[in-house]
Amino acid sequence: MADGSAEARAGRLSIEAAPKGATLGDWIEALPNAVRVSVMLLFWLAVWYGVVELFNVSKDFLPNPIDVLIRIVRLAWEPVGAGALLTHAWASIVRLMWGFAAAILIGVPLGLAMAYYRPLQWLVAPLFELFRYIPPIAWAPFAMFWFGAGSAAQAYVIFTSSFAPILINTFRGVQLVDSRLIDAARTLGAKSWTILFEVALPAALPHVATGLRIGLATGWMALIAAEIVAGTGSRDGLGYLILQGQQQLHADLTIGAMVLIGILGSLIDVSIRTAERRFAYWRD
Amino acid sequence: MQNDLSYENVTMRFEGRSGAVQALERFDFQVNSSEFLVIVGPSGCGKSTLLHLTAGLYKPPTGRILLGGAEIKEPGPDKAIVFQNFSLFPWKTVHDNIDFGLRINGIPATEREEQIKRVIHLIGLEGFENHYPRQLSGGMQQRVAIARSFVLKPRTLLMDEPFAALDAQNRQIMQEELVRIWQTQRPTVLFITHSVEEAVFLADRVIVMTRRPGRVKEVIDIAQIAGENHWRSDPFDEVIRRADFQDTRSRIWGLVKSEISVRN
Repeated sequence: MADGSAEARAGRLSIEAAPKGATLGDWIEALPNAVRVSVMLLFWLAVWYGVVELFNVSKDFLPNPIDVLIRIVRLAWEPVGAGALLTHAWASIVRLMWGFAAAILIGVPLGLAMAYYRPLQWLVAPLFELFRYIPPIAWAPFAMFWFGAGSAAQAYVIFTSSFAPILINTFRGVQLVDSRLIDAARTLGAKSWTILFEVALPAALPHVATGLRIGLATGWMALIAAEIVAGTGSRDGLGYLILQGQQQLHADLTIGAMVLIGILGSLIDVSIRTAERRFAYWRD
Repeated sequence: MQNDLSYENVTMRFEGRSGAVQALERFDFQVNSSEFLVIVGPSGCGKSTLLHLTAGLYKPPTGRILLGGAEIKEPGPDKAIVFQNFSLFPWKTVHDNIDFGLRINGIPATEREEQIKRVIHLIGLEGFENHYPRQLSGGMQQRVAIARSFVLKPRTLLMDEPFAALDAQNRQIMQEELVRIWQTQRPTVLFITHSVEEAVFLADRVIVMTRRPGRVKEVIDIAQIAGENHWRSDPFDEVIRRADFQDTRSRIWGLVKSEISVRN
């Protein structure tokens, strides 16, 4: 029943429809996802390496990928600032979690309440419309007034960037709940609290999960910016490594830290997508 | 026979974008206890509105609806609805969907399990307790929706075109199944359909409604025409070949047709 559409979604139908005598495109399409992604990444690394070597680019300007890889490996035990690689990665993740947790704790209940109680929506919406044009990084100097330069200010910047997608998606999720499900619950005898927690919230959960995923991604991006701008009080974090590389004229350190940020970011996204699928086990 | 459900002068209007729509006008009717009442009428005649008002989902601006002598003011398990689109909770299993109404109405756990077992047996879905709605066919989903309402032993069961989303074969099976399930408890049933055949087969009485604003156009006493046993106690495909069944169907269809305006 669902097989046909699942296949169509995965884009597999086009393979079967393709004529024999495979082209390079067909061959690449037939690869398993993980293999294809790895092959493509290797291709770009080779391009990078080739450009650096071919034009004899200076290491201070653009190190080749092998230099960067060596730098990342050395970073595993050679401390820069407060510690080695794990110290910095951990410091960044802890900050992310603080800001993200605050955004969930305020964003989800507020989104629910706004969808449930329209005067609250009218009250909050204008403020929200104004604030969403202030980029998270613009909050950093202000956050330093309040929290001083350090982890708390950085967590606050993450909060400002995660909060909006979490709030909006929760709000939309509750608004989009099929009103017939709510009618059905009411005729079975459910009162408003039961409807909120047993119908509206579970029905909205896939949207909430999407909000969390987007919030975590935007939070991660804001974090690095926050570490660069508002991190003068702390000597750790991946943003700090980028800044150190720049100040010590070590391009390989700056680029290595950037690569690590990309890898960690996509790992976070993959793990939350996995969690999301568990959330929505009951959907098609 | 005592009156179970009575409509006194019920009027309902909706404020739409293109002005007010008068859905029901001075709807007056008495439904007997344990009666199977089927309502037919042209699209938009206010059939569904009537059902939603009876469920207590909203209140008529004028007139009253009384259930067992008391005015209906809010929805509740004594007048559960079965919807056309089943409206099962997709994140709950068959077992938990049926359990929902029992649990929120404070029935103790051991009794709930007994009741769930009873209705799952009644609808013939043993072995599917832990399936999610999306894993079931339309007919099976509608059985679960019926069981979810039926387990609460409602005084009145409201059915809003419950079989309209099913294919013809499943529809016929479900009509016979509904009769069998209904016989075990015999709640008063208010059943809305577009199928005149379905109406004649299932009903004690059929109400034909006028086009909007909906009023009672005519009441056909099927029990009187079909006799003691009703048509519903025999297999559907056998009953529809009988002459008196076909005459009744034609007569009701004629009444409905005369209400379908060419301008619609």
